[in-house]
Amino acid sequence: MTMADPHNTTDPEIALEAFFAAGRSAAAEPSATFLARVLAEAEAVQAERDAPIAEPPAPQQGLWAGIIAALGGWGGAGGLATATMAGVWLGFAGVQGSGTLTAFLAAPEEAAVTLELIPEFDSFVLAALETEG
Amino acid sequence: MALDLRSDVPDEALLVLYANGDPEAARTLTLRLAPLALRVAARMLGDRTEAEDVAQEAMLRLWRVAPGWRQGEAKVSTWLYRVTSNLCTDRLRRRGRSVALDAVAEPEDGRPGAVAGLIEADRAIALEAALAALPDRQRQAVVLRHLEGLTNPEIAEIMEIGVEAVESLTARGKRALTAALSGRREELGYDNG
Repeated sequence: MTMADPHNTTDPEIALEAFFAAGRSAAAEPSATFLARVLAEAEAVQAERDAPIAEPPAPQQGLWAGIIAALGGWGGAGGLATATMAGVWLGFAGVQGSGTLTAFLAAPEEAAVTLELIPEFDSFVLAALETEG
Repeated sequence: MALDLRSDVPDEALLVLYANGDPEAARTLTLRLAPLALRVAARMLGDRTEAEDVAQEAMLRLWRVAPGWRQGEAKVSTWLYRVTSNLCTDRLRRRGRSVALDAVAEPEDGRPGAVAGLIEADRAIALEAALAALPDRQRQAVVLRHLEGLTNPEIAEIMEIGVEAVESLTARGKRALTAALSGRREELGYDNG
């Protein structure tokens, strides 16, 4: 932007332009360390964006969740509960002579050891039968 | 400074390359745009260290917006001028008032001719001090128009005002600068008629 000689002018506009020209020449030059800092941030942001998305951490497992898992999940726990209830029912109902594998296995030993888990069972069953009758 | 090996590639295309992970694009954009941000910040703040902080922050914002950059909406340089200027304005507001006159940096040597160079350097310092005394918006408009060489419509976009408002700001700024510098013309190598 060359106009009249700013050194010999009374025109304030032209004189001011000389100051602007000096200002343009004295522009701040970036140092190598400043450019390195800016570039390092550029690369960091880029790397952050390119990084694979991390898998979310596994949720904290509670006591019951741990027990259920140890039993093979809800299916396993359900099976165990069913078996337990079946055992309780068998114990109470005193199913005899089922005529199946159990009976076959028990057959040769007629005087099998009787284990009374509920000593009062017989009277309980009798009382029940009487009530029904 | 290293050469811009992709001088034929516009900033907007480089920003897309950067967003896609191109390491060379990061380097080229840094070399091309960080000096711009630093220059404007230094002129508005009059403090080299603060200017570097602001320029770095403006560039960091650019890196972060890169993936969502919409082609054809704005020039990257316009966006950067705006963000840098706004960050400077925020700093100046926090600081209370504008540039501390004693914070105006001494120019580095390397100017042509010893005496002429010194005179030129003195003029630059005088201008910087006079700019520092201007209201923020006037200084911003004058810096963008007369030191960065932008057009009024470009400045209007950066400052988010109308072209007429830009003209008004630069006119008032120049009047104030002329008044501030007129007393120094003789000591700064002008014959003064």
